[in-house]
Amino acid sequence: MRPRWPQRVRIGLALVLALLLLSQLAVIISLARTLPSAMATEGMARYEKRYAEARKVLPRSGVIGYVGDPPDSGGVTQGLYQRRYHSAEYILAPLVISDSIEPDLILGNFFNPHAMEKAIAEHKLVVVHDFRNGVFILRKAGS
Amino acid sequence: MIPGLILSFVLAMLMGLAVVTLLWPHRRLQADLLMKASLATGLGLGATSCLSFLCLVATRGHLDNLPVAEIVVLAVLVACAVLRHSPEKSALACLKEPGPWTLAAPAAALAVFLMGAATFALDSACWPHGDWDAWSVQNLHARFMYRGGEHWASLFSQPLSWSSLDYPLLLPGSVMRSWVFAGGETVAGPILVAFVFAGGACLLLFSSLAILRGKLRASLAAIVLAGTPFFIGHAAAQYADVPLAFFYLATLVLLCLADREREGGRGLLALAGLACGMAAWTKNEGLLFIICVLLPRIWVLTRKSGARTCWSRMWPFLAGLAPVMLIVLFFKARYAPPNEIVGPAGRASALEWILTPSRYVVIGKWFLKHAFTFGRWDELRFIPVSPVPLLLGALVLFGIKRDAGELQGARAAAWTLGLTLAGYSCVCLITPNALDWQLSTAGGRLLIQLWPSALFVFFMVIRDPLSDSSA
Repeated sequence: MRPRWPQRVRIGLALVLALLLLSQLAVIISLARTLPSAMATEGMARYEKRYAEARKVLPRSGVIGYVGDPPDSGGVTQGLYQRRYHSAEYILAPLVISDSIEPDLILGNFFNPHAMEKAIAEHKLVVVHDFRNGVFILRKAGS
Repeated sequence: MIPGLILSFVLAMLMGLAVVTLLWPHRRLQADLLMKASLATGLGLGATSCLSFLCLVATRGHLDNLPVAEIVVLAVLVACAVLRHSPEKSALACLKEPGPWTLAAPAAALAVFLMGAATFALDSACWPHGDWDAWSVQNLHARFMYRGGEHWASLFSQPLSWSSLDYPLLLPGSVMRSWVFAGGETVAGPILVAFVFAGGACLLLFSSLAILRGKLRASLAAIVLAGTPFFIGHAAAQYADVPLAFFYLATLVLLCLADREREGGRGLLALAGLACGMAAWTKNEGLLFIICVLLPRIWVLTRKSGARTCWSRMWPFLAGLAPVMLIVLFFKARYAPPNEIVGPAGRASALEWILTPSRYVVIGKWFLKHAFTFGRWDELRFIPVSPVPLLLGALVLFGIKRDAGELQGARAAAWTLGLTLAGYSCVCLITPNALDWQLSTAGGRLLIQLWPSALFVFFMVIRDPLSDSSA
């Protein structure tokens, strides 16, 4: 028996394929246009630079604490707070960073100087290292 | 750095090829080479990931001798593959099809794949560390394994409980070994691992359907998969879902091929078991998948031929599964904290959620709606529609193959996928997390895990629109 659909099927498939390839080309062009700005603002590369000096000073392993611009204040959402904290862990691994001020050494990660001053006063912390880019190594006063 | 990186992938491919050739029903390397190569991609990375994890544990984090260990294992596998006694030929062979489609259709599939590969490359250049779960889970774990030395297991400490510490280590292990071979950390490692799995899945879908259903349907399936924006984008995001999708597909393909072999296809069944075990070494969902593979097969075989025949068909699968499962169980018992769903918090809320009818409605509605939108088809500017309705329409138009023997494997695969989807729904039902958050963050990923296998089953059952009209 002769196939019932070949001509229509072939035309249909060829049309869908052409539209698909054109769409994929449009996606590629759009991505190529955004590539320079995306590479310039790529988050993890900026975090690598941010923690480069701290990494030289901090121990390679063990547990340190973390304090940063608090969530739900000054435009810092819970998601942004987590992203900054998780990024610090990603850059500084295998050092374990606990989201608390319990350990002896504490990583301070501030984008807002007022938040840093408030945190230091509130938790009675002292600055051990100031890397002059919002990153600090802190410890509790008297410890 | 680059030569070492390339060597790591070449060695993984060779190890995969040696394992596949060792268990293939016949020993001629050239036969079914495309199929073997596509299986070798994922299975090679899986096997070398297992080996590097064992090395890490045995040497307490000192990985200097990992390349030597891999070369020794490869030499043993190659020797076994060369020395084994097996027939020269098997029943596996590409279907012979007449007509211009045999060239044009694969060429079209290749064009779509190359476009997908270019999209993947640009995505990876924009976000080389991958998306959130890639750097905060998979690549973070790889960094602990690579940088940590004897302290690598500090990864599993309580402060890092947000990093899904119960996830198995196939991907982190693969990334770690790429850095060991490269002699340092490079984003090219995880990017290449992600590409190998995505490309391997497309190639496996094509090569398996070319053997089982001919090149036209194989090409159409590969076009749909490589043209799925979410599949390519998610692979570039370096999440574990695309590697998991590869192992799901490999398991179902190998089981279908084993069903066709006259001698019972024991080697293919063992390979299927190995691929299934690799799924469990990739993500926890793989453990559910093992049950969903075993249940329908045991049910059908026991009812049809009795328990003894069922055992004789199932033991090679279990033998392939066992080595990887031992590693998974060792990892779970020794390192991984309890999963949030089976942990105390999950158990406390599970009964309450099971007895809440509104959750069933929310989950049902979500899956129904997203079955047609999960692929981010709207990114395809000139054809922003899901292919799912088109595929279902084609199924109605062209019909299902009627040969019961030919459909046996596809039917079992469809049952497996249905059960896995039902299992995913149950996990959503009892999750201790907010249901809306769980569905919005993980739902699409669960569907993309099943997508290559669903395409495989679809193109296995649909009649060829151009030549099957009398079937």
